[in-house]
Amino acid sequence: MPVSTTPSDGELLRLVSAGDEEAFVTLYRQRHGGVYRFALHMSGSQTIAEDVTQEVFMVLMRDSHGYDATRGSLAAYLYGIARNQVLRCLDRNRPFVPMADGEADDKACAIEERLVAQDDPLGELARNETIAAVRRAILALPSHYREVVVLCDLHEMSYNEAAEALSCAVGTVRSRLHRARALLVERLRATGGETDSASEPFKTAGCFA
Amino acid sequence: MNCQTFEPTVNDLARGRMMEANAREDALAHAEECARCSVRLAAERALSQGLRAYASSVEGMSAPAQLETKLREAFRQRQAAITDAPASAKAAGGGRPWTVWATAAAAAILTVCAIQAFRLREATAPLHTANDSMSLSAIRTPRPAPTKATPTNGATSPDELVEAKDERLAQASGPKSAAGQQAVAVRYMAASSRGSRQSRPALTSKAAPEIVTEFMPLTYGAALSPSEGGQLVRVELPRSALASLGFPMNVERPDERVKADVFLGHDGLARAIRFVR
Repeated sequence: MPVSTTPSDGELLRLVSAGDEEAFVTLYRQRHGGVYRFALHMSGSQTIAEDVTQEVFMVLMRDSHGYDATRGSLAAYLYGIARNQVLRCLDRNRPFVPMADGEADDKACAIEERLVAQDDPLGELARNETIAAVRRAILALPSHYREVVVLCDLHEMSYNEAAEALSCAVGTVRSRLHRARALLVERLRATGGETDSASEPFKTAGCFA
Repeated sequence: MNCQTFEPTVNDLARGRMMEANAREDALAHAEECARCSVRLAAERALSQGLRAYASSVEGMSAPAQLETKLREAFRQRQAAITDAPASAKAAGGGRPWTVWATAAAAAILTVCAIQAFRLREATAPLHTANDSMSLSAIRTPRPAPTKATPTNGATSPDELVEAKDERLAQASGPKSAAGQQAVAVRYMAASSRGSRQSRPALTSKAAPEIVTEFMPLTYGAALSPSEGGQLVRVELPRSALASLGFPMNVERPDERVKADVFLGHDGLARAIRFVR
């Protein structure tokens, strides 16, 4: 009975370097979803997310030797490239102010339409409103806070992996995440998107009971 | 545990991350006792719930299918370029040894030619001087006017003309330099005089050092082109010749003779003169 083994990231990269198209496609199919969603969470734009995903795999195609397995996982390496590309895109688009939040609204509507369940419309509506509020709050964060929230909370990466992707210390990731979550709670409370159980305002400092 | 120590753990607690069991129990116990920290934990848990809902809402989202097609095409093009590159390099490499050898041969030929030209120039310069000196002796000996004609240094190569400085030209021409054509001759002579002065200590190392003036153009001579050769002869002139050239003269000793170097063109005419003491 043949045993199917999934090639490791290093093996796939070696094959990609040797010109194996199928290895490249396998690697793309394994990794492109996370890269795309990371770019989408960071930018809030599907166009940017597509461009970033394409550029990340073009970089991998051009320079597959750039990945060093001793410095971290391939996912962290790809997220690092994606992060740099996203920040570049955001910097490039900064001078342009959108006339209307059309794409974001369309995106939110698309997500909400996909999530609508027929058996509990009110519950789903509240859930979708929460999701939209969380999404807006994340996009309103400064980029260095946004990226740790996206990596650690949305992509469930460990502190070490996030630190590898962001090329910073683990302590920096922890402190940024702590501050970012506090900011998110404040923003969600201000917009009324938070659940009733946490409606009471609080301060992270001055609580020494 | 107090609120200060609770705060760093609240994130991991709300996110359900791995924690030390004792720290987790202490944090939960403190949250039950402290109302503010309880609210804080509740807010963090609500946030984590919202974040998980948002993450799950986009869980299935991915790049469009045409992106994979586009990347496949880019991969093929790149591989084709990589495959073609060695072939073209090999084709170019076939001609490379020929080019290298041709360049090396050309460089070697040029080097040999340059060395030969340099040696030839060095060899012909003294011969030219000697020939000129001999011809000068042959020509000047029958001439009665100058006495004790002594050829010193002969013709000067055009290269030395180039090396002559303009300031020397200005000194040599002085107020008596009438025309630009004379300046050419003076420049020629200036280079010649420098050459003679450089070689003189070696030739007459035991003789007393001489003091020479700069060459002065003789206005009646035809102009010399820079490429034209010439001869330099040592003569003795009556002191009255100084007056004819505008120099002060001791009238009490008009018959005394002074030494001078006269530069003669190929036509035998004097072109410039300098006085020697």
